[in-house]
Amino acid sequence: MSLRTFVIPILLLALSLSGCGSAVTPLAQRGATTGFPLTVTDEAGRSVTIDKEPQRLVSLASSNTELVYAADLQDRLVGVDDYSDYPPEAKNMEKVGGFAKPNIEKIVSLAPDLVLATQIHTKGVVDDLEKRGLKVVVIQPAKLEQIPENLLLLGQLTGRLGQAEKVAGALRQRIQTVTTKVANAPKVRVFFELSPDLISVGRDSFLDDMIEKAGGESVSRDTQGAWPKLNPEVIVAKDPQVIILADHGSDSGGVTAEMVRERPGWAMVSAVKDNRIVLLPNQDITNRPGPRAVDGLEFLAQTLHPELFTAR
Amino acid sequence: MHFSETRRGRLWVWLGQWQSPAGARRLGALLLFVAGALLLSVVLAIAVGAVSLPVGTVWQILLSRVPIVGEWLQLPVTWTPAQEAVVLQIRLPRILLAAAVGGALSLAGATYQGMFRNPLADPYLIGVAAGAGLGAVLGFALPLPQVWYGLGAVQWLAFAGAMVTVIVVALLARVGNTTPLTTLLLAGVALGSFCTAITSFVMYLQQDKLHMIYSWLLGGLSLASWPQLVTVLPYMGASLVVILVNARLLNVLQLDEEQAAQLGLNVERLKLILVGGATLGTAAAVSVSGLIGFVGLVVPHAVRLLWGQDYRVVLPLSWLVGAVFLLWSDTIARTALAPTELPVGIVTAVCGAPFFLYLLRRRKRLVF
Amino acid sequence: MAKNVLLRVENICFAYNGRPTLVGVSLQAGSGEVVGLIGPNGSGKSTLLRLISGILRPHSGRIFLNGVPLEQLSRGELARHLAVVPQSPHLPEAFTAWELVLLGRTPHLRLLQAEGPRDAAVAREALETCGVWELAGHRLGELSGGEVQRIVIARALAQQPALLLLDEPTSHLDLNQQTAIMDLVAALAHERRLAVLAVSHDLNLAAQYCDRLIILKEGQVLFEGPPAEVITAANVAAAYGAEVCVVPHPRNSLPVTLVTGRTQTERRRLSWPT
Repeated sequence: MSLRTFVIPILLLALSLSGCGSAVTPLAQRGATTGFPLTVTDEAGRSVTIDKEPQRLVSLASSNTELVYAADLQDRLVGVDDYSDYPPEAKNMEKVGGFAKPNIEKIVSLAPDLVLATQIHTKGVVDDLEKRGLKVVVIQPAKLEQIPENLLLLGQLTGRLGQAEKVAGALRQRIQTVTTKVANAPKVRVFFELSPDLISVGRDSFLDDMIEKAGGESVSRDTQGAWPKLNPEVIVAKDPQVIILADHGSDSGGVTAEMVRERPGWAMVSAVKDNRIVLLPNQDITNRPGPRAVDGLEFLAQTLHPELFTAR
Repeated sequence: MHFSETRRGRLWVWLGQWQSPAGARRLGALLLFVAGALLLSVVLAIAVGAVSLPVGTVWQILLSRVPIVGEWLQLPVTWTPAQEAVVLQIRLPRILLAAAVGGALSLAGATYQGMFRNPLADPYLIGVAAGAGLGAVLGFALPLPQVWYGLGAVQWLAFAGAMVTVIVVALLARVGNTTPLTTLLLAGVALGSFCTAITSFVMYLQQDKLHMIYSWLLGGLSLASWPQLVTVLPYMGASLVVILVNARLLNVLQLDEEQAAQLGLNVERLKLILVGGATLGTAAAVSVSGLIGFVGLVVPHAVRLLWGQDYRVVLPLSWLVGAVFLLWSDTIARTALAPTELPVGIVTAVCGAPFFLYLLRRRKRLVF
Repeated sequence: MAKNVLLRVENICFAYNGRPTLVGVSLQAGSGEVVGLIGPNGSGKSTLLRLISGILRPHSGRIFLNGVPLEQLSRGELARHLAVVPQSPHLPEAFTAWELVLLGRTPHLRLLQAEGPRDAAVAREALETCGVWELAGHRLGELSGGEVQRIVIARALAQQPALLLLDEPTSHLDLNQQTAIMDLVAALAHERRLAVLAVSHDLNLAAQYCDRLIILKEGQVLFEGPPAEVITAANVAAAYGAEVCVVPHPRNSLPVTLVTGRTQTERRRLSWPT
């Protein structure tokens, strides 16, 4: 595990809070017309006019890279950030720098027609790029449904709508399957532990939306803020039925189910008594607001409602 | 008429001198009073928390656990196991640990201020903080057997890091048969920087642990538990005893070392004893609470402003006042933004600094 | 005046970092007498005091206190027998005179013992003897140099020593304070029967108050004896390399050393680099 598996997802999640969740209309429908020039309002509320069909794409975030590959647009991809590692071919792409601080010169030198950024880049990177005449679109979904919509937009922008529709449709189908199955089941109380110092996910964060759709109720769902550090009393008092550990001890120094059991006062938490402490197999499926988030949704749903899903 | 028979004479003879039977009684009364305040603080703080519980319930839970009284009272169980866990397993050890840590840090700070005769001395002066940080970082970074983490590997490594660093500093600072204070300070700064550099390097290599390490360094008591308390208590107790026993000698050390030696003190031995005692307490505190700043620096000054210079007064009162201070700071840290937690170091700084300035303005007499 | 020998220094040698500071120095001091130690800068006077008070160890030779070799006395025992009044000691300004003098009781207290009524009585008596009892409640930062010096002497007295060592007790004081201090010192010796060894730069004060004088130069004893014998123009020239006039004091015939300023013509004859 490396930096990207933790800090970046936090940033991605954190920024899904700040205001862009307010007007949640999927990208593709906002002021979009067919044919170029095309004006879209991105998920940071910015209005961007794209004059011609983009042939060269640069992605500044791993989640955006995964979107590009899912829409089968990798042939137009000319640059990715250092942490884009999925699918594995992405690792061989030209690198443009770190997630929060990409190398502007490098991006410019690749002469992209469209740069796919995230909310964190609006604090300066986007302006820098636009000053040099580049087109930037910010992709930062606050809700799970926005991901298929973003795929469609990409398809629309690049004239590959057919492929995008297929993939988006499949994603929607999977999301629908899960939400229907858990619709009538009672919500399962869950504590999603992002790190052993009791950091969890707050209200309006992307992960919280996923948990809710998976039929769960996070113990910190009423907490403001992106990733609040919880008081242990609160966790014990809320008595979660499932505990999910994101930063667990497969390498050293993380936390194990054993350690959670031994925390003072946690022995009587339902999740501990029923031994429902689950280790998250791969943080990327819950931390990246890209196509694999649907994998994450399915994992969460299976974990929270095992009785509704046959084991794969 | 002799001065001591004048009113003014009698007044100053009574005020500000503890070295008489009357003075000793006064000190005893003062200690009892502040200890009582500490006890009261524990009682009040335990009823307060992120999870609101009725005060009556809290008391019932506590009383039912007192060995003889509990059985005698036979209280009906009106609370849930979760509530009991919150009070007895989470809150009570945390409150007591906060008091112990606050006391240990303040005592060490007062000791260093007396030893170095420097008002800016704090318990982290000669490399304790850097050593503990390095120890903790190694605990997070090295591939240790998983079982060790359950046993508190990080705590022990932080403790060991702190102790080893100070021992090395003391050895480095030795000049012939003596350990001059200036060299001790400089060696502490140098070795501290070295430890910090290695810590940063390890953090750079292990980027995925960055968050955990920062979190530890920032300090906090949110994972306080009875085992932790029981583990550190012997070290803090030893530190307390060693330092208090030498309180009067610390007064003598306020003159320079040559004068203290000419008054019959074994100055070198005293310095080593004091450094050892203060470091033991600080290392134990830091191993469970991370680096909480400000407490060890400010509390001794506040005590001096209120009750004078005599270290027989300053040392025990620093411990007690520091305990109360950190207890309440942590209480604020865990309730102000419930259900989230505030880093306790922020609370100590924000609460402590204005109070200290106020004290300084009120009592303009010479402090140091 | 019958005196018994309290301090005996036999042939001690000491070197700082290989630089010989004292070479074969011997001296004695008995109770009831004031012995003055004078000499030019660098002659080793302060070093000698440090050796006697146990801060430094001589490389050869022995020091006896009441017949007991110094090495056999613990620091605490030593502090009960001799007290030092340092030259410009570092004193915390926030201490009151009372608190400082009480510190002089340290050698008489065991580790966990606090000062008791007896210690308070001794401290008070010391302050009264030095004439500073009224200042007892004042902080040291508020007092003048002469008053502080007397308080430091009081602290030394509180140790109830048999031997009192003073390092330039009058160096920063003005005229009336100087005589007051030396009067006190002489009284302590003659009336209280303390042995007093005082280092001084001031030849005239030393001559007026000391029963015996020892002139040190470059780590060796040059002259020793009563002031009238020791302070002569020739001796002073030999010790200090300075030309002086020594005349008897009009009141008590003790030697007074006079420095003669050069006349204008003489000054012009001095060679200055051009």
